[in-house]
Amino acid sequence: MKLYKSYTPYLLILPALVIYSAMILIPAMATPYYSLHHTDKSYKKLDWVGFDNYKKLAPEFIKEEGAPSDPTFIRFPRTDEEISVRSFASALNNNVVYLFLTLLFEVGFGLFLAALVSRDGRLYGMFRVLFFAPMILSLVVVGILFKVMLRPEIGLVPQFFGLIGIESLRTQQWLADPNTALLTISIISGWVYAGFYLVLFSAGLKRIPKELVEAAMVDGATPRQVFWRIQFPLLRDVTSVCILLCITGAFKAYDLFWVLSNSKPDNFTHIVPTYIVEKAFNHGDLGYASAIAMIVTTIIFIVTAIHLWRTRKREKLQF
Amino acid sequence: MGKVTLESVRKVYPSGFEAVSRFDLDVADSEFIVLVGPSGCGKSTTLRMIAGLEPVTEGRIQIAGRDVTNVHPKDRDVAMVFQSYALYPHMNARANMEFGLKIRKTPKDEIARRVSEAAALLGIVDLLDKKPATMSGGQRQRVALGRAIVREPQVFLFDEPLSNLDAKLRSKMRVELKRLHQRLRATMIYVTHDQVEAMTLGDRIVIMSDGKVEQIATPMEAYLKPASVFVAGFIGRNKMNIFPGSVDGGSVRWLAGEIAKVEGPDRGNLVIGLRPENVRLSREQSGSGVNGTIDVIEELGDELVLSILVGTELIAASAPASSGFYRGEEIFISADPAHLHFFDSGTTKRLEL
Ligand SMILES: Nc1ncnc2c1ncn2[C@@H]1O[C@H](COP(=O)(O)OP(=O)(O)O)[C@@H](O)[C@H]1O
Ligand SMILES: [Mg+2]
Repeated sequence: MKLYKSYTPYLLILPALVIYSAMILIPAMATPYYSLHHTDKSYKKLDWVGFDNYKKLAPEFIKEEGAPSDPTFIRFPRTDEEISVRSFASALNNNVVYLFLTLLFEVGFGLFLAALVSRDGRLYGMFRVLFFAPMILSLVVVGILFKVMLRPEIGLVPQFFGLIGIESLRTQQWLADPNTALLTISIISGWVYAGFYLVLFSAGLKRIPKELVEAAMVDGATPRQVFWRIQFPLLRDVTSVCILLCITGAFKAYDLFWVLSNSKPDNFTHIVPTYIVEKAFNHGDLGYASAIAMIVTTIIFIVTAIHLWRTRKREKLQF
Repeated sequence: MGKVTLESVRKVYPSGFEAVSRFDLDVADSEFIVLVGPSGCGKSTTLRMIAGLEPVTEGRIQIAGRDVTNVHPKDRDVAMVFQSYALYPHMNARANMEFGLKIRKTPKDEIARRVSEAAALLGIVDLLDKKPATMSGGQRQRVALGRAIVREPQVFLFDEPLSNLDAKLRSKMRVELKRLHQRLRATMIYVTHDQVEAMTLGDRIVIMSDGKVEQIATPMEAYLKPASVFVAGFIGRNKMNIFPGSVDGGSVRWLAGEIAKVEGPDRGNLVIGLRPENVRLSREQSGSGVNGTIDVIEELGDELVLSILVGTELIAASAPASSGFYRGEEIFISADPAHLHFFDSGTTKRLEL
């Protein structure tokens, strides 16, 4: 009997395909459809509304007469009135700020660590594993962990600041203060993901021939000059990938924000994904949420495409 | 100026492997020294210790009268040309050459002057705006040389710089390197596994084997008076015939016969060497001589290389192309005693009888 038929390969990937379709493909394809409808809270009724959901978003980005502030990015709409008018703009704003902060704390710090520990030797290997370790924790666990550590006055971090005599930081509401919430979450994010970027950069550094570094040393370069003038430029393809991962990661972030804000993100801790979930499932406005998802997906798609196109276009570095 | 001194330098790698043991060397100013030996004998390790890229386990290294044993490579004022050229891939040729000077904050016009001089000297003016990836091996080689030259260092270090080039380009670059040395009058330390390169380039050569120095001598000395069996076998275009032998009542016994007569005391336990170009061939027995049969003839145009079967051993000998030897011919081998090299079979060191 012949076991192998021409359709066997398709049969083998069928289970994965079914799961993928149910969980990702179909919902993704349904998003544009939903974005053109209005649902009631029970999700039972779908009414065609055309582009109304998109139109509802427009005022957030258009300065109307008498509107409280200009919608420039990186400037928070702060007053309640302002936020009520521009809640999505504010989430998007936060998300962009968060992106820049994670570029610093995840990618930047990962690069810094890679420069320190990308050497031969068991000790350095141990450090790499150590820095990577947070990656294997669930973000929910990480969130809870840090929430405990950051609790004003009694948490580990505030107590530390108390110990070194900075009273204002001892009582600081790290996660509830609009001035520090986003920064704090970004640093926690960095604690988790820097190790991941460390591994990527470290692999990139290993790929650079040793003689290039040695030639630079003999040429008179200090270790720092070797890093910035030789190694870092030669890492540019890795850096490109890391930046891309960080961009997409920032607009997919959810868990940390949800946990650290007690599942009730404030206007200053809302980012696009948390905002979408709130709109879709707490307010039952699936159509409006889908419209937001469509817009943000389009923006990320364009940014990513430009980035990839620029990466492809430049000449390849050969070692 | 560019003197280099190695005092009892030793290198043991962290793995416990002793790559270089007790290396002593005095390199005079503007001398061209070649470290030569088979692959894995510790040449690169020695060079890298001089450059500061490999820590020294024991001993001291001085450059230009300064102890640099524990000095960072950047502060040693040496330039190095790597086998792989090690050009910075993201910089064009000009930037590659300027790199070391910019790092040292050399004035701009001085940098420009040196780069254009070196480029003219090496014939790479047209390459200056090109990136390494778009250059041929020979071009990269020149840029790597240029990068070293513009530095005007105390000492140039070369680690097999020609071995990635094809044979023709290699001999061309060899001549150019020699000319460059004569022109710059700089101290150069050059590593190669190719004894022809060593012989043609070196003012003196250091022959190494298994991390030990076998001999430090001029190429001619190493050829005429190899200090050990290893050197005897390593140096020379045609490999020396080396077999055990003895001296017995003035008769040099080699390959179960008398190859020559010498004056001197009896000696057993000898290793005796004779270069193919020094093998005396004759069709008739006259005086000393061992008898053999021509097994293979290689014709090289101007000369013949004969493989002669003596008993069970093969002896190489060279003869003029006009000598008319033919395969299967019976022949007698003998030697001028002055051409025989005697070594102690225990220590393998040279003996003067
Ligand atoms: N980093 C290292 N660790 C351990 N052994 C090494 C290392 N580098 C080289 N060696 C060993 O040291 C010996 C000499 O190496 P090297 O100096 O590169 O030889 P050469 O240049 O003469 O071919 C070789 O047997 C090599 O395997
Ligand atoms: Mg080598």
